[in-house]
Amino acid sequence: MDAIGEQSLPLFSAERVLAEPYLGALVRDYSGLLYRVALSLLRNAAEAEDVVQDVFLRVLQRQGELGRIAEIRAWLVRITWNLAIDRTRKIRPDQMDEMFAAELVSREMPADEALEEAGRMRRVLAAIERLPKLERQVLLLSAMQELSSAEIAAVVGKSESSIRSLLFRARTRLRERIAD
Amino acid sequence: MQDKHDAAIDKTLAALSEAKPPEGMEARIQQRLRYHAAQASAGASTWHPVRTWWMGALTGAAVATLICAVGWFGLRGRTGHAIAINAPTANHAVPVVNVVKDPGEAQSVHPCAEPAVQLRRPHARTPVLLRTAAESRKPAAHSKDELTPQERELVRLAQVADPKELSAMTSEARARADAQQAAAFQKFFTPPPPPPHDEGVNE
Repeated sequence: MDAIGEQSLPLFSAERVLAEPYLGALVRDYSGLLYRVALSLLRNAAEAEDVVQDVFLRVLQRQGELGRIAEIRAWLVRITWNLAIDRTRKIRPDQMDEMFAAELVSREMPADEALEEAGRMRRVLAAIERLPKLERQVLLLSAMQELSSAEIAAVVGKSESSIRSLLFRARTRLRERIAD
Repeated sequence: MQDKHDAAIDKTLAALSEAKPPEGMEARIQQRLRYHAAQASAGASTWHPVRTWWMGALTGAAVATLICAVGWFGLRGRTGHAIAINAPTANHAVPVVNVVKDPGEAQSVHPCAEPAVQLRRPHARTPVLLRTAAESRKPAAHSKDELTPQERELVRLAQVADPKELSAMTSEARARADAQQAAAFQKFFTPPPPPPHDEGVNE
């Protein structure tokens, strides 16, 4: 009976997780990228951090499967992306544009210039928000310079050529909308 | 103009890609992971299937015992009440009084149809427990001899009669019932009047 009991216990302990260098390395290497990915969709720092924490909790729960994942970065970005999309259903990212745009502007800029710059950024963010869903997603992911078009394709589930085409259409549409 | 718009788009996208994570985010993530791992570890160490199985078996046995005890005491209480009302006082045949509710009905009954008192055999399968309980309610033999006939009748009724009948037993009702019984007795045993002598008709 003891043998059965032992077998049914998960081989899972705090010591093992803390001693696992891999998970710590994942947090160190990718938390910044994942934060930016989440922030681009949510436009709220606290919500973006929550999403990143949730991502690593999922990684912790699926530690056993990590060995089978070939593209760990694309996999993490995809989880982050999906969790952030889920969260946009609960919050309204466009309501945070004013504060978010002010945060994005460089702090070294003079106050009047910073105000003007923040206004421009707010208009761009509002125009991005009005883009078709797939175009908006590809545009935001392409802003993350660490991500290749192949990785973006893996995240949104499209081919690389579709990604290029969507990106071109998104930029054109965005330019036209800002000009209006 | 177009360059200006492009520049605005590029600046916004660049600002998104250069956003710095809040200070201490990495440490907070590590802390949360550690907390969840500790929780999962504590949950795993306290959960033992074998121990859970034994706990379940013991709980089941306790519940079954409780149900049996409640059932047994409930049955005992109910049968005790039934004995007080209906159980015979001995294994021998015992008299049961037929209650006549309507006096007119008593008049219409033929005297030979049924005796006012009938005998009923006790149930052959009366359990020992029930019989014992019934016997415990019997008055002692020596004390029965010391009772007056009225008291004996009351004791008998208390053992065999319907509680409703007992509750309705007043002296007037009792006198009326005695008179009815006496009338029925007289009617049964008094010889009928001789028929008129009219031989010619009969022959």
